[in-house]
Amino acid sequence: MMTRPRLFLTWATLSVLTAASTALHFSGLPAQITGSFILLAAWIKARLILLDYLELRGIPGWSAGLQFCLFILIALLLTLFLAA
Amino acid sequence: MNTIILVTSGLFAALAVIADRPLKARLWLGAASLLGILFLALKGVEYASKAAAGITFETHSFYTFYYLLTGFHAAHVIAGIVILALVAWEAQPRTIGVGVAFWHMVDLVWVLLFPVIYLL
Repeated sequence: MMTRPRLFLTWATLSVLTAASTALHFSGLPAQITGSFILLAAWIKARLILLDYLELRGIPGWSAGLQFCLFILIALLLTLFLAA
Repeated sequence: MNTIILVTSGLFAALAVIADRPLKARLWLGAASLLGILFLALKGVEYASKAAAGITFETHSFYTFYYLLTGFHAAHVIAGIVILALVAWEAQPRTIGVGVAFWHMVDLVWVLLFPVIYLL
């Protein structure tokens, strides 16, 4: 069972990463740098939702399987983005 | 803004799961649903502005995918709001857990769609 402080910490991290991604998008920095950070942030956010919101932190089998699928998806997106 | 709304809605849904009384759980589920409705309202504004600019399914293949992906996601948000309302009716811990898991999956899909469609 998740605790309230843990859930609020997860929510704050998700919000900060979302705001940082949006700010970076409009920053004018090279697209390869911003795009890579944005995808990295999306990976962290998706992991947090799986582990804390969906409470998979205590279920190692499902957690490992879904995190592996997530890693493959993000790696594919990053490869396609950098190759484009 | 849409992403912040959805992750906040996810927080409210998660708080419903750990609520110690059915009334509290219903209130958190109601708050999560309201943010889901706000998400849909903002999505409606976004679609309206696209339509006003003459952007349709056929404008470019990007917009075909844009409308399909965001449209199917919005359909799941609507389904999620209905599911949250149904599980709030009985307010049993097991059903709340299952309904909220669906809501978190909608949240998860948006977190992955958002950068691909809007930021990259």
